[in-house]
Amino acid sequence: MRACLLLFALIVTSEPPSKVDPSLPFRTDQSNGHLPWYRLKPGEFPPLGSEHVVKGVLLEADFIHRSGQFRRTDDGTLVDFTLPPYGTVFYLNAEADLRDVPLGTLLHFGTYQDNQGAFTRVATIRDDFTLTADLRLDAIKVAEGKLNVSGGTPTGRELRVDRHTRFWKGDKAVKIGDLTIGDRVRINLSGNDLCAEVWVGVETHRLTTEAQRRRHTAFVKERGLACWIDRVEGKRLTVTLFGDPEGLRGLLKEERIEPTQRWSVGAVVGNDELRTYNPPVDRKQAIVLESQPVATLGHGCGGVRWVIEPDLLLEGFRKGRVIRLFAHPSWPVNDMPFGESLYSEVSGFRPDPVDPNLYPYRTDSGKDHLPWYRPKPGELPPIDSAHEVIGELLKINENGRSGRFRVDRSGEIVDFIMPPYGAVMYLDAETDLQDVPLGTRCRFALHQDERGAFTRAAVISDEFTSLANRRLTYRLDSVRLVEGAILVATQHALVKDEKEAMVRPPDFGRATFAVDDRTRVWKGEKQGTQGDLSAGDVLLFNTTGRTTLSRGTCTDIWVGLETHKLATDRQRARHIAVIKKGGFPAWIDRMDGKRITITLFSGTRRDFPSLLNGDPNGGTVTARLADDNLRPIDGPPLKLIYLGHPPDSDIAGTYGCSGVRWLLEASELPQSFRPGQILRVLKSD
Amino acid sequence: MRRRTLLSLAIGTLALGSGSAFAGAAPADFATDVGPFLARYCVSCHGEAKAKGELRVDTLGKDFAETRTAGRWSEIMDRINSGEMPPPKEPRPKAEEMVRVSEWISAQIMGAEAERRASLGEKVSFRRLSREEYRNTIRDLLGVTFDADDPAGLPEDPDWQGFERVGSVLTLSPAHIEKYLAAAESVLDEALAIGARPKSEVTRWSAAKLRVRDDIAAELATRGLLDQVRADIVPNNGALDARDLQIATPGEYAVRVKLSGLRPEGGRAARLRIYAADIGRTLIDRDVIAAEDQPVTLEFRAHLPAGTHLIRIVNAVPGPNPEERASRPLNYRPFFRMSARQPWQIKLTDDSGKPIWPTILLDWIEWEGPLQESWPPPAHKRIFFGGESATKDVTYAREVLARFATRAYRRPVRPGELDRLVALYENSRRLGEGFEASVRTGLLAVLCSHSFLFLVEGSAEHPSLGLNDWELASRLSYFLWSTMPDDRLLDLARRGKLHEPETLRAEVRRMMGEPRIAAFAESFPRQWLQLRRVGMFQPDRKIYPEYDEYLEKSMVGESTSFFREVLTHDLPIREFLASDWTMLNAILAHHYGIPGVEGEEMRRVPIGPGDHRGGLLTQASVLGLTSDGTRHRPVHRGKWVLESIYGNPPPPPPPNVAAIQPTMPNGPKTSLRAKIEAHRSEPNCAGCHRKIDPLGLAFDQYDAIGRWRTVEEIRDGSGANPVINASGELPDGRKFADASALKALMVDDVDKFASAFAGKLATYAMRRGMTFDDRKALAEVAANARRRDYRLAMFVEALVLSDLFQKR
Repeated sequence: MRACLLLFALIVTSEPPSKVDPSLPFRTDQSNGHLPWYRLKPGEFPPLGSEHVVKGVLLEADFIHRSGQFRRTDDGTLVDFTLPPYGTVFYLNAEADLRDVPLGTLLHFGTYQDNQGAFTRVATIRDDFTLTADLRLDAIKVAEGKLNVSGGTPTGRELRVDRHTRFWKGDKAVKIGDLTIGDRVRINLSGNDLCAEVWVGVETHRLTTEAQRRRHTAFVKERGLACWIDRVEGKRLTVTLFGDPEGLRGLLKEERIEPTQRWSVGAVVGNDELRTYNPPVDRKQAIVLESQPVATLGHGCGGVRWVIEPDLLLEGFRKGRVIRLFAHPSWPVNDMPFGESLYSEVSGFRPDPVDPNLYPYRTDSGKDHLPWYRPKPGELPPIDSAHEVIGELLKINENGRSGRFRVDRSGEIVDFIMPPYGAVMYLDAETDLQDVPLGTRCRFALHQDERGAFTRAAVISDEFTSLANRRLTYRLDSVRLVEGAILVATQHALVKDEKEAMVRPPDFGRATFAVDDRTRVWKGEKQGTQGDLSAGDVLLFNTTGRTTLSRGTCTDIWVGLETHKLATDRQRARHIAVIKKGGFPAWIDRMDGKRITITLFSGTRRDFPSLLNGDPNGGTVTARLADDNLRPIDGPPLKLIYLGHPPDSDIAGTYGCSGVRWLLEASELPQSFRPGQILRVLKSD
Repeated sequence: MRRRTLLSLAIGTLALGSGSAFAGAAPADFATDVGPFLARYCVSCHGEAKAKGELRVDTLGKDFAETRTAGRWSEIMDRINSGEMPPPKEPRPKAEEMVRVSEWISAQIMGAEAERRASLGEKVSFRRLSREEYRNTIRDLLGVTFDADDPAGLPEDPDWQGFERVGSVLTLSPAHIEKYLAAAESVLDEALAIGARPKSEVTRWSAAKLRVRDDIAAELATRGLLDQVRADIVPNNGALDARDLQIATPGEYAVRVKLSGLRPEGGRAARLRIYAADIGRTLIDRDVIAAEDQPVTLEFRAHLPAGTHLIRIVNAVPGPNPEERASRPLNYRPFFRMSARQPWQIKLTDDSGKPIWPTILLDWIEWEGPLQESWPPPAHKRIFFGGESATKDVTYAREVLARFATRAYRRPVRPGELDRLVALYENSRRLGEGFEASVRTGLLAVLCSHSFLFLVEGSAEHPSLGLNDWELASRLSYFLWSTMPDDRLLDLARRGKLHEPETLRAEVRRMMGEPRIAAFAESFPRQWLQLRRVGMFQPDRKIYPEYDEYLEKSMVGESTSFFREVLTHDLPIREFLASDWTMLNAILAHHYGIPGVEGEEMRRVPIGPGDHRGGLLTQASVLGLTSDGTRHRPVHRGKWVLESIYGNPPPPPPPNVAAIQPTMPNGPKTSLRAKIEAHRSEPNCAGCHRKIDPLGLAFDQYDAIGRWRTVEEIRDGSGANPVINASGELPDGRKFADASALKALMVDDVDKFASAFAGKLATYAMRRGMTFDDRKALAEVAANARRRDYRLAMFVEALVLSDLFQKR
């Protein structure tokens, strides 16, 4: 039934369909071209048939955040997608998690419009194995790398195979030579007409589906059944379980969860990504008082509604919120792996203490109705106040503190200027802008200029830095140089488990990246070749910017943790040399007679203490006036006595802040010294 | 074995002297009851012929003041009560006979005890001020608050039959002497302006300071969000929110708290309790109702000693386990508003934003002090009456000390006493101290002298049973105000007028109209009804989750404010037995299921028969103090009625009394009454318990925390919970159906209650036990009160005007 519905919806037309279906109050792929598309609503499963089906090849899958990217097969454009909480993945004709689906697989995305009208919200993902009936193998052309099949839509197709195509018989991998004309096959493609995987024989299909079903059952038992709360009445919650109704029914039956009498479940709070916090501690015992079938199904609706009563209501037990239920006492109640568990984020090494909705200005996280924060003279702007734009660095101006970049996707060109406190992070080290190679994709934290354009760059950082900050690396899964691609999985650094042993948390996501002749490979202190890459390597890399058709191409790949450290250390050493020559950038906060308080700038509080190498206790500081580009202005340096830290020294939470303020005293202060004046300062040795 | 189970209940036999209908017939008598009993059942083995166990009952003395004699009689009573004597093979006495013997022995023992407490044999009696009286006296003498209940204050006073002011019980230990010295130093430091004026400072604890980790607070500050942080204080948070408060200078502090208090619909308000854990003192305990976006600022005063105080900020309402993470505050994710709490935290508002739990949202707490409304303090000005223009010499010092000592001693200072005080001043001056500091040494000696710390009555040189006017002023003042006499009383004493009946009557009436009468209205019922025992056995939180400190305080508050209401409106004391009104606040009304009462203040609320309240006996305090932490105790309740209402406490239970067996898990659910009745079927128990039990079982329809019920909830056992039968029969044969009917019978017998009440009032006023010799005088007091319908204020007046009151 499910397959038939999807097959019916598969035909995507660019022209609005002229057929009218009065039973549906929205446009579909087949009818009602005069009506708007169905828009997703909070607390409502989208009606079956309301989706706009788009075919695409999966390029990136962030299964923690239930998002990813695919390339449309019709026009080659890239689509970033997210799954709503009830979004369902079918793979190998069974329910699956996004992590089960190999990158490069051609999939059918049941999409809905986001707030901007783009079809990026995906309620269903299905592979060909799930959607199509068995095909008949009509011809095998080994030398040409082709197979002819019939029975599908369109029927009578010629498909390609290459050295990456895998063939399965029973539970074993076979070779193309083991195929026979007349075999019943199911095929998942990788792009148009290129076979990724071929399953041979009806029994193979059954075994494959069964294996995936078991895998998903185990996955659900480890994490609990996901559902959302329809209603809260007193202490009672009415919840609707997510998933494929048929699969869910089978799972409940298999687990002997009989909805005929009251039983106890463990209820844990979650978020829209179906992630939980700390189930062993947060779990509340809840009695299931009632089980009802859901009359009207929608995408993602499991067809079952339970009324439960927890022993204590938690904030997360609210209408519309997602919770997970450990539905049987035998299900182990454990934390999700590191990185997937939300609690590791809120209580971890760098918790964000603030709900972004609290800011009295607009941020990338919300409050769209408010104006953005405008930097004020003499004040360092607060963290999160900048608008992050990602793009490729195209030009660096002669002053070394301004330049140009091209925004990802839109291609918009932005001329940016760095304020004095603006910082550049490259290879996880603070640096000067000139050190960043042109053509590098960077993140620009921008404030508005006088005209309201986002041109004032508080921080510029490359992808290497961004990953290193989150202690992430890529693990090379597959090298496909012929295709100009590498397949990687994102992985966390080692963490301590409950026995204090260092363990590697599960992958964070997977992605495909392009490489070309210009891609440089670094291994140890030397530059290597792309041929040095092999599966299992731990990588960090920078890429070029992205367009609507390109995910960007790797510019530099650093292979191995040692290489990463070496790259960072070298960059740091280079920056230290620059600082030693020119001095630390700073500005004058305030003046009191012959005393001044200065704030030292830095892009990283973390590294600054080692860069500073201690305060000049009992010593002096040499200060030179500098312009807004941090360039020293001609004139003799001034010697000041270091008096210590002022009471408000411990500053944090701002861009450009080193976390260090100095109180200095001069025998006489020149007129040019005034609050807001930029300085370059050095400890006098 | 039989004797061990014979009396398994807590109470043994009765020893009733009043002849109350609730106790039985005329009091037992040696000639008619005890002598014949001993001759018939005991002398054969314990007489001249055998004297088994070296005991002869035929020659045993009857001076119960003699400890050894009293001990032997006590043993005889125990042996009879337990069924051990007479031995099994000997003829058995009737149960009624045994009861009569026990009653007589018990009455003699208690009479002797009262004699000892009366201390009548002394030429001079010294009755130490109680802790409460000391505090009040310091307040009125020096205008300074002394925190007597703090650990650094004074030891808790022992009680005798609930009364905490009986002279022979209030002994003086070495610990007291140290404490009195320290207290005197402390209060003089605060009262006198010796040295620089203490600087008043303001300490403010923002919610961020209380809750947020320093590094995160720094981030919030730079993002401009620090001021928006609030502290979400969930119910029952216990010790989760605590901070040290440094107090350099002791004194009066203004405490301001900005907060919201969210109250669930139909539920309890959030309750702010600020508790100084190190001194065990609650600084404020108040309901707070204020919307999240409409915080209020509370202000109150607290007297704080110097030191580091561990301040706990508590939302003192019952709630979920505070140890669970769901209830704990976070120091890494500050709270800003209710709609942005962490999902794993306890849900405080429902989906429409209405509060589910009473919750406090705290913005800040501010401590300002020490407050000095004038400098020098008023007490300093009064003591150093001459001001700065006075000649600071020994003459002036003598006059200063004489005036102070006269007020402190509550009588004129004697020349010899004054000389010793002046000598202290002179010594200090010789050592180089300033004038005020030297006078202070004399003041210190006054505050540590026995004439200040004790109420001294009588004179070794001129023995007399009557009180002089100075002594009368003190007795009257400490009776009604629990503090020193005011200037008017002292003036009347000085003029020798106070003892004159009309003057005394006028003074009693004046004193009862003063705010200080609150001390009597609060203290007397607390001691008479033994309210100190409320909550002594903390009710089990699993069985009674709604029970908390505030409810307990309100329970006691009902009884004391009920007393005050009767006193203020001069109502008859029969209101204590049954009334169509009571005093309630919101929480107690909720506890009783009486609608329409809001707020914390106790107010008079009319009640009907369906409310099942009225009078003292069905107040939750009384029902609670006669229960244990898990269930009601009918025998304790009966004993309390006999003791507190009729002044005839039964004797203690015999030794080796077995406990009542709990209901077996698989057995049928059995009411406590049924279990007690099973014990009462034993002939030896029946005689006593026939008198005690009905007075307790009548209140079975009230559980251990005083809630009305019709069914006794039994946790163990099978079958339905038993329906409660509260009916009973008095020893005189009158029957009643329930507590309400019993109260009606008690009102009919109000004279008996009045007689006992006169004794209780006199014990409190005269600070000694009442003896046989006092009976006549007490009867006169009761008779005088009866002529005025036993109206309470008149009752008090009758006592003060009686001969009894004006004698030692």
